[in-house]
Amino acid sequence: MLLIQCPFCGERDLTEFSHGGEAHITRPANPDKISDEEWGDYIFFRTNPKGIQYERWIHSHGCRRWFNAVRDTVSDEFLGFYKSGEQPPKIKRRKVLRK
Amino acid sequence: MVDITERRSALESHYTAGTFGAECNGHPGVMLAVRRNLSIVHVAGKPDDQTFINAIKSACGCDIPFEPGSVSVAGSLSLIWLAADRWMAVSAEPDPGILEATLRRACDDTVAVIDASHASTVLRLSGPQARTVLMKGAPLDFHARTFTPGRVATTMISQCTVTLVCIDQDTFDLYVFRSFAQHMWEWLRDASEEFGYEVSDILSG
Repeated sequence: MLLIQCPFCGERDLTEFSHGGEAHITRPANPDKISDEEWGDYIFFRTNPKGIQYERWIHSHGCRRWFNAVRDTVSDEFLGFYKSGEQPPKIKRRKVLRK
Repeated sequence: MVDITERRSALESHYTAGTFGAECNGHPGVMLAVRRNLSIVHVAGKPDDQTFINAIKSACGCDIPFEPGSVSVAGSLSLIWLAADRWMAVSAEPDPGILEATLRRACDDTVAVIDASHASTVLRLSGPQARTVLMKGAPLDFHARTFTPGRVATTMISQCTVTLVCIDQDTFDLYVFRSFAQHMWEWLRDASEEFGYEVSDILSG
């Protein structure tokens, strides 16, 4: 059972949440003026890191609020949670034991 | 002629009062009932707006429950926390327009007041095994010291979103979307079978 800390409701089971992809992607301010390539980057391309990722989650079967989480994509461990609009917490890259 | 203005329960054709399930010698582990004719109004407002706080207090007679997962009660009216800026007012008033009108009169147009009385079916689950039945379905901490009377949580039972309100240690109200009511009712009956359960008469209010 994987627990997620909703910043509003507290610790709840993963099944109540839906994943919303990478966080902190800013919509281009002037979509008419940028190239198709830049627009394609914004719409389709994501960092997809092996390690720490800042991502969006929604408590879809709870308070229905969006928030952000920090997750290690290798171990699936959640390292922090924060509300939308808040500064992301600084997470030090940790040594993960890998064989 | 069928009176189409009359409110009908989503469970009307599935509801049979009586005792079912395991042999329980007159002491069923679980009691199930449907609560009808409630007024349910959703309210969304800014939690830091003093005018909003005062308006709700004057209309409902109780303070807005700001603490996540808490409920305020004033007589037959409950104000239930749903999210950081959303609440649900529930009263036993059978005409849903009255509660909505009262809240709308009290609040200015920065507050959203929406009558949702017909949106959900309200089930009441009680008895010594009621907590155990819920534990079988919802991924929530149901320890008697954690989920105490006056607490509310929106969670998931059998793939459906339910808002659970703890009325007292052994009594819970389940707010289910109307179209999922039959599924939830069947799930509850199935989960209660091992304890023996009684379906009481429909509760009006």
